Amino acid sequence: MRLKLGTFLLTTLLSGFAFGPAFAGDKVIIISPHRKSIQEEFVPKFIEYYKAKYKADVEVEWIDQGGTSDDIRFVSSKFATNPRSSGIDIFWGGGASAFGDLAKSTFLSEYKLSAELKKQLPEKIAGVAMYDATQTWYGSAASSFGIFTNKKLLKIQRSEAPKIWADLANPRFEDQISATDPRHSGGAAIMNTIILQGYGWDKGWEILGNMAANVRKFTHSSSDPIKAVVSGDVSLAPTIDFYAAAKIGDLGSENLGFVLPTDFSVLDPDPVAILKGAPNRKVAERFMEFVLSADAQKLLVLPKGQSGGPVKDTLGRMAVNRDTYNQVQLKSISANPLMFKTSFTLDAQKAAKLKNILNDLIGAIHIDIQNELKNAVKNLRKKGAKPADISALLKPPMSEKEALALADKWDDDVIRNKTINSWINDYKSRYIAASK
Amino acid sequence: MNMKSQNSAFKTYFPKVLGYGTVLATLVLLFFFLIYPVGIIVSKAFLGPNGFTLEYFSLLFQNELQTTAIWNSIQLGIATTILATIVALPLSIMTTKFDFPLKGILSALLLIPMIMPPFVGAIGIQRLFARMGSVNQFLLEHNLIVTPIDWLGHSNQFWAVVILEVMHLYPIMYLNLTAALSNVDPSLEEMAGILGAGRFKQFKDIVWPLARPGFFAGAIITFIWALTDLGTPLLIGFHDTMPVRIFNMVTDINQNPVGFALVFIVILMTISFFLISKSALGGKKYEMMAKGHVTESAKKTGFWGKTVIYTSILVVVILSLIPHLGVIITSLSDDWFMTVLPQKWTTEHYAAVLQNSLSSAGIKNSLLLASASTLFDLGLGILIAYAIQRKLVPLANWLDALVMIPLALPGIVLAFGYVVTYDGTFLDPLNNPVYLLIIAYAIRRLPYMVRSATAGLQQMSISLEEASTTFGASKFYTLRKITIPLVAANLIAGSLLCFSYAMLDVSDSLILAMKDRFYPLTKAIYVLFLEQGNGEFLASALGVIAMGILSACILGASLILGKKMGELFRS
Amino acid sequence: MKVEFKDVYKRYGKVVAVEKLNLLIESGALHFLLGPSGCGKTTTLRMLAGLEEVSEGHLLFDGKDVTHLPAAERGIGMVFQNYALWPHMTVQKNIEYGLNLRKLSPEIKKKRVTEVLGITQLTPFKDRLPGQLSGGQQQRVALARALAIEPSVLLLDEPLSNLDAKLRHEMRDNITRIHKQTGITTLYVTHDQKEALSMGTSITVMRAGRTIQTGSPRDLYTRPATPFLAGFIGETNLIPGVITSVNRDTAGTSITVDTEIGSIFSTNSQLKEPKSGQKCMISIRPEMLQIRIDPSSPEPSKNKLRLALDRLTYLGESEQIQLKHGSLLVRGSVFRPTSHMPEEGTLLSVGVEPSDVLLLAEETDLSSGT
Repeated sequence: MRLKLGTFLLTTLLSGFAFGPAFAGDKVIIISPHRKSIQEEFVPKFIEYYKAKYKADVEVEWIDQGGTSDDIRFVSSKFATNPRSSGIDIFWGGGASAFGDLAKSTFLSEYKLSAELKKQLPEKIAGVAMYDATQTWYGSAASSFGIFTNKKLLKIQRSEAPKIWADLANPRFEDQISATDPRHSGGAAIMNTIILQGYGWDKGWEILGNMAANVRKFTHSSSDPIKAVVSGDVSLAPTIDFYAAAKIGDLGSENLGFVLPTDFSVLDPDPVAILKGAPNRKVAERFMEFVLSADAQKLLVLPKGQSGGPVKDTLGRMAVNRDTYNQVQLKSISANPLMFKTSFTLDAQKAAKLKNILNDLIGAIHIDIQNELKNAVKNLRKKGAKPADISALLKPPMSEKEALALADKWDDDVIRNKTINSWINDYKSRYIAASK
Repeated sequence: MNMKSQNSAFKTYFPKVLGYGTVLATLVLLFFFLIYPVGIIVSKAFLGPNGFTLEYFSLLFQNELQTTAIWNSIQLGIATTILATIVALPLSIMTTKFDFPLKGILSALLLIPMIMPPFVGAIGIQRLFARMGSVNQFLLEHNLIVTPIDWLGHSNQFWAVVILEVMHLYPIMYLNLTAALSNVDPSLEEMAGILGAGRFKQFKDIVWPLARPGFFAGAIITFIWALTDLGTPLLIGFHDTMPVRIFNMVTDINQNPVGFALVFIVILMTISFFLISKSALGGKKYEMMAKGHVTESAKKTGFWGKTVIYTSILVVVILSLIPHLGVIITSLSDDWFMTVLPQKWTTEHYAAVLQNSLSSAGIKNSLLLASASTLFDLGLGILIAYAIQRKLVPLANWLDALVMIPLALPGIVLAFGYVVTYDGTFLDPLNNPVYLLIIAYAIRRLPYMVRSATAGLQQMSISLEEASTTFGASKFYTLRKITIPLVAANLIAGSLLCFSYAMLDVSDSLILAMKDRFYPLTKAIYVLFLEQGNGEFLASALGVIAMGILSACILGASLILGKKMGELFRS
Repeated sequence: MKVEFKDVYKRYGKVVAVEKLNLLIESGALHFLLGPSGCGKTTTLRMLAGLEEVSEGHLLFDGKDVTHLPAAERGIGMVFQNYALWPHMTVQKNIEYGLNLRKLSPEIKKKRVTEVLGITQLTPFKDRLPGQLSGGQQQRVALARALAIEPSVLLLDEPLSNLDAKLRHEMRDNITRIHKQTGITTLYVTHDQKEALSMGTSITVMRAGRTIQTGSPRDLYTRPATPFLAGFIGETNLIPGVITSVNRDTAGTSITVDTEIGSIFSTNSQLKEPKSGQKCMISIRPEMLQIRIDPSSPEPSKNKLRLALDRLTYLGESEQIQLKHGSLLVRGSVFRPTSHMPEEGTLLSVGVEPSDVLLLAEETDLSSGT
């Protein structure tokens, strides 16, 4: 018995070594919050492309640490132990703001587009920068934001689908919205920024506050609101386009819908970058070239099974390469962002600067004390208070200018937490007073 | 006379060296894989912009939300422990004191609810209890209600969490109580009966004090679990608890060090709750005099007895398996959109998931990792419990409390501590996470094993070991031949918990297993779960497969050992 | 094997459990360690077994110092009060355990097991688990297990205390028989003085961590060193008094003591230097009192006392009589009791031979008795 246990343990330990063969050829290490489906479509195609173009085998190591913030935490810890290299080549996926943070921490290294690619990749799409002036990161796909709806439920409630962002603040959607905590989701943070920049600071806070009062639950994961809509817990969820597209594809457009708000629709690039001190720099550059190429971009837009398209799953994303759209034309199922007409341009610099402070502020006065907020707003609405009164209740603790000034000090965690505590205390008593 | 003076010195010191060596090795292991990695992460709570600071702690207590969360969590822990005891105690009395047909299978069934595959459990609950979920749809269709009941709404959240925790945790209590009760010599009860004590008084005065170490072992794990559980409150959306606050602040895109201050507070709370309750509940030692053996005393039951027993077991099991049922239905549904049950059924998801390379590798990896870590726990747990219980080391109580810390740790803290600590070493999980995964699984589940083993040792008469010593057996020979067989029931109970929860481990698996060939089952479920399209169904199917494997393990273990456990391994 | 304790102390922190213990157990003896519970006798036994460390002093086996020898190498067989049988092993496995540790050849092992099973009459039960045995059988298994290794010293810790009275008598005979058969030096710990008197070849009485007297059963009964001992071993009447005269002549010393019940004359003194006016304690065994039940029989010649009859207890072969004088109770007994016993309150004449009156020193330390 003892011998058997011992042998078993030993085998187990030895098998630790046995996992995976040693690979002598070319290799690239990628960290990515992207889902399995993207990995499964892009990696085999890259290996094929590599073999054809460079006459060599390449191994792709794909590191999954969870979501974007998990990946950033992991990479930062790697750089904390060795500031010169993280041992990883490529960071692929996230949002512009995440890559802004990575660039700011000097974790990214410069990569210059080839002349050929430069012609194919527009610098801006619908007013949004698709790559950075520092030439560190490049958008590899684009996403838009909108509102995911449960049509069946809306019909039962005899409610019309929202058309613009401001509709989310309408009292008829009380407890009918599921949204994600922006402190955990870059997407949610961008939607808040769109509202604040689109409608302006004051009006923006009024909409965000009323919307928070309509939210049934703020979730941690950006996929939870989707589930809440599908299960019929709520009828609306602000979300990124392709999350919604996949569900609509599954359960039918008669049941579910996606509204692209007509007032302010904004694109967000999904970037890719080479990390500082990449151990396989050369292969990494080749990977960048591949991901941005018109051929690879077809994987994003084509339905599964079409030649040049994905094999297993339709990805339903927007490509950023002009030639991709020229080559596939109308066969594509997703929208062509190059045709987007928008009068609104996001001030990316301001957005990046305010990101952390806005997240904390919304977290403090909308999410962490959401019950008090809801009681107060519902009470005012019931009493038939004027919109101005509600707006006064929801007024932010500072002007945009003050926020920008405070953002400079936000890295000091003591100042940050002191401020958060005072916001919570102020707004909690304010809400409680208003619910009487 | 058997004196051999030439090797007498060796014989004298060898067991001592070996004994202290093991204890020392254990301490070193705990240092490198618990204290140091956790310390590295938690030290952020003391590091302000200008070096060392305690400011975050005062900021923590100035924030009313945090203090409310602490208080809520304590209430959650207490309510869960009390309710779990109310559920588990009658069940364990039924299965230890009475005989009825199918006892083996039914008592194994009672353990099944403790296995809940992660992530997909949320689907089960959501599908059934959302405002337009199956239950409300059913009630609406039959005109039993007019407006949907908000099962998971704000006012119900606290109790929703408690009920889910109880349904999930009562098996821990049940396992420990059963092991303890089966070790109480029925002749003691009979004696009390002869002396005229009523059934309740017998239980209160005789059985209870003797079974108390087992109750303590179960209660402290249940309490700390409920106190520090992240998954359930997150699933219900009850955010005003300590673990959720910690999770919020630590995983914030712009990480907040106050979260680490709260981690530190939770560790302190766990240690003090443990030590206080230990001195109040588990401190007194009533070992059995081991007058030979505990005779089989289970009473036969009549018709009404059987009715009561079957009804209560089935009600508890069925209620507890409702979330599991939700997962099973999801895994078999083709289309399920706002109806009581899916419109179409299919087994396609199982075919698809079995073809997926992630699932087969995940099952294999998890079985391997969980078995290895359980063996690790078994070895380490026995040694630690033995060293603590037989007072082989100074400050045994503190060692005991130290071992409880993993229960208090938010999953991310330990796993990420490993990532930071072992970066660039031969243990770097980027290259090969197998060793760290085994160690992380083992360290996390160590408290279950130590508690179970300690309860067993506490009930065992020390003279059984001394008798062996007088025959010239070394401490280790005695441990192997006498002690371990006699606490086998407790060790099996502990191993079952270790194995099951290692199979279902989330945070270590997500963080340490980075490349898909190393993915354990849970990470495979997670990755599938996030997939667009049919990901949810595939994840549910894989979740059901995981439940199947674990149920088979539990049923198998209790069927093989069930009868023997009762008859042989009583001390 | 001869076992010797030399100035042995055992301390637990500040508590002294055994103090300056000197004890000699002759080779082949069935030596009893007798004392009230908590007197340190079990601690002494455990030190001998090697289960407790000796704090100070020496422990000798045949003159060889074994104080720091581990339990494993002392060659000791021990029977625990609760038997400590391993419930997961059969009777045979329990017995074989010690033999396995000694790495004996299978033939020798088999021979020994058969032997001890025979001695303890357990052969038919060898494949049973301890839980399937009665208390007496379990006790014999414990004994067999200890004997199987042919120990140089056998230690018995209250081995009969868990048995009923009838079994206890049976087992006393068994143990005496086995001891005679094997001749193993045996140390037997008990609080039951009857066990010690009826079985022991020598007895040591302990009290409060110290030995007070060692001797043969007869010595201890007839010549106890202290009033405590006189009361502890057998029953006795202890009557305090003051010496009024001391008379030394060729026949020995005769002493007169003034007591509450009258003047008593003794020729059996344990006092070192008896002096007139000295306080002392008189011990008279109940069976030595001559109680005149039949008024027609002659008056006692010596030490004539008159005591009131307080209570009678009929025991069959004898009748226990409790007598009273003021608050002092005196117990005696008559054998072959008649059916015409006097009524309670009747004054009776009582006498006692001066040689049966034992004079003892007044107890100095009463605080640590039971």
